[in-house]
Parts: sequence; structure tokens; C-alpha cells
Amino acid sequence: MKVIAQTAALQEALALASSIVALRTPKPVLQCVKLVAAGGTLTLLATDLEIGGRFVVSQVEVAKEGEALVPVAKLADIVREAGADTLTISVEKESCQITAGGARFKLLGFDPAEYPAIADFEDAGDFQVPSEAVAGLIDKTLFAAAKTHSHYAICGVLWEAAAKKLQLVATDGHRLAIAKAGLTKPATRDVSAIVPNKLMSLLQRATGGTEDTLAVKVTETQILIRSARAVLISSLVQGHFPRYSDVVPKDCVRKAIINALDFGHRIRQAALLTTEESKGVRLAFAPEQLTLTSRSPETGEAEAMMPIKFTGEPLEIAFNPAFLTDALKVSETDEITMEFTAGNNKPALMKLGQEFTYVVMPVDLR
Amino acid sequence: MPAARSILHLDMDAFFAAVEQRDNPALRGKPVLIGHDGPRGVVATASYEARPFGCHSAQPMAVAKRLCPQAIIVPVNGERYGEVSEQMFAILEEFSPLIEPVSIDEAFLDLSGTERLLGSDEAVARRLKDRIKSELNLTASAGLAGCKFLAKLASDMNKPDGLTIIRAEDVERVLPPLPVSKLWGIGKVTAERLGKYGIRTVGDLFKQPVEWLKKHLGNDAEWYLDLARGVDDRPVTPDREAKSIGHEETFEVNVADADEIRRVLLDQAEQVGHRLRRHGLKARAIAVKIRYGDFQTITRSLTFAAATDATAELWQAARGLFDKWSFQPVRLIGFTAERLSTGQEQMLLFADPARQRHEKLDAATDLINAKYGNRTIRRGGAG
Repeated sequence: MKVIAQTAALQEALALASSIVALRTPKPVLQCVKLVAAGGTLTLLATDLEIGGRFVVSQVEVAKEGEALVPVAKLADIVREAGADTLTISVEKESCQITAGGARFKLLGFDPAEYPAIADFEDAGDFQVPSEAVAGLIDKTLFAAAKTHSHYAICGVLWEAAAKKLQLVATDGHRLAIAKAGLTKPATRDVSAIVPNKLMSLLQRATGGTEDTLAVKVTETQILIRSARAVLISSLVQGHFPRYSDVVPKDCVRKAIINALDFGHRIRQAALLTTEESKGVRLAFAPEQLTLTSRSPETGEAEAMMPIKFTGEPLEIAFNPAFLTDALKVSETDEITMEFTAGNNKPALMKLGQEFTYVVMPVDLR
Repeated sequence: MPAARSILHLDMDAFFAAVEQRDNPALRGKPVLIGHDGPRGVVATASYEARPFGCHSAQPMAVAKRLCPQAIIVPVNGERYGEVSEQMFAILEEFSPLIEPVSIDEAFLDLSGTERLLGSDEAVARRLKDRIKSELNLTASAGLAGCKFLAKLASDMNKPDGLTIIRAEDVERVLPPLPVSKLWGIGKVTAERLGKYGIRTVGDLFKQPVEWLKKHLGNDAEWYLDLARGVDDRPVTPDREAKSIGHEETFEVNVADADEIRRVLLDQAEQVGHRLRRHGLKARAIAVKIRYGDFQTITRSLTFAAATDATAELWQAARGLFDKWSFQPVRLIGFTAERLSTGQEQMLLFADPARQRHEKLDAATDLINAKYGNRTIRRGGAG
């Protein structure tokens, strides 16, 4: 195998490949990336056995088709330090030679046949969606997904596609984010799958900032996503996602209209006087005004006020400030609404855009 | 004018010696010195039988032995005293949430405003002493007064097994004849210096002009004058925030039966759960301490996803940690709830049926125990 590749394009693909590969694994082969030069492109293959990726670099000239299996971290280091616009990779048996400018590296690799197979997918899939829309959905949901295990399958984001809509839902058991986007054309079948957090962030990095359309295919156990430059594949999270629609408040009797930017700022102010042990910020809603207060037993107190529009009986309720600012940061609109049912121990409903709903459980005020 | 306070000072009588005498009948009624028996050894506690000979704590052991050659010398068993101290504080906690531990065997309790709930402060003090006697088989001396200084003074007046009350009207009678060294902060050196000017009693000090006192005692003069009048505004401050709540038990012999250890651990988890709930605390983590017969000690901890005060969750976690270790005969087992937090708790979006069941069960258990006495009802099997 011999290819002449554009350094920047190769570096970008290697960054994505290295983010998949497990750093610590007893099998050296699993710390590698597989290079496949064929049909005028160079494809990088990487997997941690749960997630796999195929990244295509088209800014190459293939002088001789072939394959190589080399440690991904070392190859990435070499390419980053190449100091030339192009570099040449040539492979003799299991050793890989990289020449760039006035430097030459020889990297000892492994037999490419030892690397696990990574599925490819060619057809149109179950549905297509603009990559920009998916990046937006991930922004609005991934932060709310659980990081630690619970008895529900919530260490991942629920994807639901039906007709011309794709909906992503994430929860950590304390808050819930639901975001929707339109599909390019109706899904060929209804799809429901829980996608692991790791694939979600990889997807965001691999397709963000592009104007691709993604093709998505879901099987019993896997999700496959194809963009113009990459194919990503992942096992699904098995188990039950909680019945989230049950906790979205209905029949709200109180409603506040709040400037998102100002609200975020006031929450950050009040959050300065909270501690890990008493992390709630109190929100007192009155017809024209919202008052935020906090108290840290050993440090002091904070009070911040801002004008709002509020209808319904005044209410005092406390929240973990991070849960509110997390959502405000990705709000689609300048004016958000916050709605409540009776009592301050029921979830609050926030609407941060036409297609972005957020439900957050308060902190017990007792 | 702030409302009158009622402060109780409780001091265990010859604590270390009393624990040893309780646990070893051969020591009862005999002069006992607790401390290291060596050339540099110091008496930690002298039993009441040793005191008539002139033995007292902080005395070089060599001196004490000369004064009372027949005394039995027992080395300090700090761990044992720590356990008994924990049991004592567990009793105190049932009487007031405002407890300031002063040392292993001494504490202040603020009883202000508990009359309606617990009865008069005097009755509470008696009940407290009775509980310590019946449950720990030890005696304590108590002092009741309107401030910490007087309460501590009072507890020292009728030792052992005393209960002394200094009411506001007694202050003028009680304080003046006392030596100045009884004032909080006046040590031997200051007392001697004052003595040179003929100031030996609290009354002597009180008669001095303020300016003179300021010259000789500096900024503390006003503080001493306040004390001399029986005024001390310092609040009873509980141990900052409790950092952990735990129980430990050392066995007389190495216990080789894992189920027996599990039963003890379950009992500890249950008591810790009860104390957490009574103080409105939840634990983010627990730790289990195991000491094997060969004195190798291991401590293993576990962090919960969400803070808990449920006995079932505490026990499940404790058991999981205990069962992970290959079983060898055990000398000591301990259970601690750590990273405690109060009230404010992030609520859950999705109901957790198991948790709700635990809450109901714990509430019912706590209610029965509150009504009919501690540990009337306990969990059955450790299996």
C-alpha cells in the first residue's frame, strides 16, 4: 500500500478514529486504526467493539492499493507533527513508513486481518435527516442523559422516528429533554432505539458543521449512520426507557414568560452561594417579578431579581441551578416559558423553542 | 433581652476507669489507674477509689504509684472508650439536637424550649442520667444553668453521679467564694499573678475596678468580669456539621461466624439509618470497617447514586462490601454513613417503587421505636 495524503484531512479523520479506540485494552490490536487504500480513497477504520467508525479521506492519491494496521495514538502524533502539507504512507508487510518534509518515520504495525470487522452500510436506511438538524438535537438532549447506571436504560438518548419527524429524548432521572426535527422525507418505518452517549458525541463531532444528509438504519441491536465522509455504527442500549410522556406536566395553572439570557445570568449569580450539600436555588414567582435566592450555610447568601410575566398563583420553588442553565444554554428562543402545576414538588415544564421541551424536577424545600 | 436558656453540661464520672471496672469485675471497688505503666507514663484517669490517695489525671504514673502502691494499672483502651462514648452520645441525641461535644466523655446540651416536649430541664437531666445508668451501666454528673460556664461549674460540684442546678438567683451566692482559677480561661499562671495582688476568689476579682483589671488582664478583663457575674453568651454549637454517623463494635474474641458478623452489621446499619432520619440527614456514601483477628484492618466505601437514609439501602450496600472480602475471623466491625447532607434533596422524575417501600417501612419502624423505646422493633434476619 502507498498513499500520498493531505495532512490536514488525514489529521481530522485520525482525531475521530482515536476518539473511538479504547485507550486501555489488553489487546494491542484494539489500540490500532486500520488503513484501507482502495478506489482512490483512504478509509480509516476504528472500533472499541461497541462502537465502530469508517472515516473516508478523499484528499489522497492512491499509488498502490492495500491495508495496514497501526497504533492509532502514535500515528496521530506523527501526523500532527508532520510539518508538511502532504505526507506519504507506504506499507511493507506489517511496517508502515511515513515520510513528511524532511522526516521519515517507521511504525511497527500488525496484520490487518486481525482487526475486527466493521459493518458498512450502502442502502438508503430507514430515514434521512440533515446532519445540521441532528447536531442541534444532540445539543439539546445529550447533556440531560444519565452518566451513571440506573435501573432504567437512560445512559443513552432515545431516538424515535415516525412519519416526517425525528425526536430525541434524554433523561437522568431528574430532568428530561425532548427535541424534534423534520426529516428530509417520511421514514420508511417507525424507529425507536436507545443510542449510547459515546456514539452521540462522536456523531456530533463527525458530522457537525457539515451540510450533509445522514442516512440512518436501525436493526434489533445496532444503529448505523452514514454521512458523506463517514459511517458510524454502534450497539444499542438494551432495556427500558422510562415512560417519559407520563412526567411531562399537563394542565399547568401557572405560566412565566422569561428572557432566557437574563434568566441564565440571574441563576448563575444565585448559584454562587450554593454548596454541594445545599445546591438548590429558590425561585419566587410573582406577577411582575422573579426573585432568586440561595444560601450557603458557611459562606453567605445571594438574592437576584428580574422582571418576568407571570400568571397564576405566586409560587416558591427550588431547583438545582445547573439543571436550568444547561437547558438555557441551548435555548432556541430569546423568550422561554416555564409552567407549573399545583405545588412546588411537581416537575416544571420549560419550552425553549417550538420543538424543544424540557421537564425538570425541583429540589425538595423541606 | 434574649429568652432564658437552659444549658446542661454532662460529664461522665472517671470515664476510662469506670468503663474498665464495669467490664472487669476484678477491678470493681479497687483503686485503678488508667495509663501507661512506664517511667514516662501519665495517669489518664484515676478511679474514685484511687483519688483519696491523692491520685488524679495528668499525674506522672510514677508519682501516682508511690501515693497508692496497691493501685491496679490498666493500659488505655482508646477504641473501647470510643465505642462507649458513641453509645453515650447516641443517648444524648435523643434529648436535644443541639449537642456540643467537648471531649470523649463530656458534652453541652441546649435544652431551651424543650419543656413542652420533654418536660422540665431538671426532669430531662434526671432521665438522661437514668438512661446512661441503665443502658451503659455508668454514671454521669450533670450541671444545669442558664449558660455554659455555670453549667460546667455545676456538673463539677457533686461528683460522682451528681445533678447540680445553678439558677439565676443562686449566682450571687455560689460564685464569689470560688477560686479565680474556676473562671474559664484563667490558668495557673494568671491565677498566681492575681494572687500576688490578693485576688484569690471570684468575689475578689469582681470587686476590682475595671481599669485595674484591664491593665493586668488585657482585653480579656471584660470577659472574666462577665463570667464572674455568671454571664456567658456563648451558644451551644453542635460539632459544625456532622461529617459522618457510625457505629463500631469490638468483639471480646475473634468471631468466626460470618452470619453473626452480618447480624451485628445489620444492627449497626439500622441504628445509623435511624439516626440519619432523626436528624433529617441523608448519606451519599457508606463505609464498612473490618478488623481481622491478626489486626489487619480494611475500610471499604461505596458511593450512592442518590443520597439515602433508607435502612434497606444502607444495609444492602454494607452487606455488599462485607461479602466481597474473603471471610476470616473478625475482631471488629464498623459501619459509617458519610458525606451527609440535609433536607434539600433533588427529587426524582420517575417513581422508584423500591424506594417508596423502604420509606414507608422506615417511617413505621421509627414511629414504633419512638413510642415504645429504642429498638423495640428491629429487622429480623441478616440473610
